[in-house]
Amino acid sequence: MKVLLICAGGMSTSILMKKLKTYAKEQEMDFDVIAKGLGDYVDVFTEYDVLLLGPQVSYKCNDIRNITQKPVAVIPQLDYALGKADNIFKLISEVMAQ
Amino acid sequence: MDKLMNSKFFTGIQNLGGKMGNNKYLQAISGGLMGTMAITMIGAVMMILTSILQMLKLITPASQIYSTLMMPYNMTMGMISLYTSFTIAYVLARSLKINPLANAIVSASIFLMVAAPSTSYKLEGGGGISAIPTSNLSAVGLFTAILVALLSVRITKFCLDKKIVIHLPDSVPGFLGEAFKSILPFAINTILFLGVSIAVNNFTGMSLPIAITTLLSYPLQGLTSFWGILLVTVFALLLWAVGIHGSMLAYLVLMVPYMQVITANADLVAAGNDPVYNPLLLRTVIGILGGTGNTLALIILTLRSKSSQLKAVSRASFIPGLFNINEPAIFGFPITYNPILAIPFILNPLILMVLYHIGYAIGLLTPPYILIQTPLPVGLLSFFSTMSPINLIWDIAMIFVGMIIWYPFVKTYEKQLIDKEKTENKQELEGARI
Repeated sequence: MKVLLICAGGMSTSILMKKLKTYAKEQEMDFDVIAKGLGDYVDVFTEYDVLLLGPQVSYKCNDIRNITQKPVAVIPQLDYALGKADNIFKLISEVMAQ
Repeated sequence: MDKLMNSKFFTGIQNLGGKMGNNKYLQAISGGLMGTMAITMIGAVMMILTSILQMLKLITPASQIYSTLMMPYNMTMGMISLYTSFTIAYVLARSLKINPLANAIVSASIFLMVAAPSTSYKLEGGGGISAIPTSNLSAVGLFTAILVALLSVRITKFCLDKKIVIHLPDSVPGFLGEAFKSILPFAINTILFLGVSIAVNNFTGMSLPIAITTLLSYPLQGLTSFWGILLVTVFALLLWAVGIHGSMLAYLVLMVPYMQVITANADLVAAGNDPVYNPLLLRTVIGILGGTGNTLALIILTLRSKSSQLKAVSRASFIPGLFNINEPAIFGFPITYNPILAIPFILNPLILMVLYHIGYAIGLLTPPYILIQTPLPVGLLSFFSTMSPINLIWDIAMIFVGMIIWYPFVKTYEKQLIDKEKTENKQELEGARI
């Protein structure tokens, strides 16, 4: 499974990216994730299964869904802030199931 | 409280912020400006190095090594507008789904034509030299670079949409056809921009970049004044309070004039003068101590909080906060949609701006003269952009001032949370008993 995290500059989501990777390793999941900013996600999104947005760019959600035609979701504030990997993986499977 | 946040005023701000954030042209400007980060970084490093050697009295502006060290600065920061005309056109063309590289090159070459037309000079003792004046290629020409980039890409897109291009038969290889496609839009762009440039030159006696900067300086005067900057800051912070990345907006409005002020200061310092203060330099105070809203003070106040939520969030956001990254803090405490914390979040940058303003006015603080766009740990931006230890100490002192501003609000919020957590624990215990 490949997940693309998107925030304004790709900086704060890179913190989350590391947490997700560690969690996936512990659970021995086949998982790849990368963090990108609003400016450059268009270059790479085709390679990813799910797109997750940071709460600060939630207003772009519909836009990105239309452009990419991929499953897109906004990460809830507290999960994002504390990097709650378990909740975020739940979110990923929910979005994938839709 | 929810009523306030769902009021017309706040939903209006949210919509406006969303619209601006979604605007392709504004995105291209900020994306393009940020795209020059590596180049400005090299310029800043060379400038810092030169400043240190100068402070140690190892070199003077007259020495040979000085001009050798400053050459990379002149070729990076000194030509920042040229690079920007390239990067902005690149980002815009990419988002309009037309060839980014072709458009970036067209934009850069048109910018050179209007900003730095080459001239031939006869040298004494025979021979000649062809030279381009570089003064408009520095931050002075940024507004023109932005205008050329946006307009030229827009014009090319128009030509492509209306099929104003040279079509080659299908038997011609694809890449050649692509190259031919950009010829006619490029020619149209060139004629238009050169025409305007020559007209402006003849009527006003100014080059196009100087004319544009002069023209824009009137409406910008208000925004770049002390009060204007406070206003832009309040607006950006209000956007954050409703969960939208508001710093982007402040960046767009203030970044170009800010770069111009700093590079003008760099020129002053290079000439052996003191850098001068301008209210635009307060721009960074919006988030100099822990990220937007100066949240490091809030984090320090809650590191040992009795509320488990506050403690968890502040521990998770402490280290990012040291690097001025504070999305974890903004969404974790949370500050968004939470008036008790949103008030000091907006208030403290404003109070600090007044204090920094006083600090500069009485001459205690050195005005920045080195442009640094890279995120640096708290205090280091102030130090490396001024090479003044007093600016660094001042930053640290301001964290304590920030703590005083945050304190009453944090305590009120903490009390609410502790009460809530107590009742929740109680309910859980009772639930377990049943």
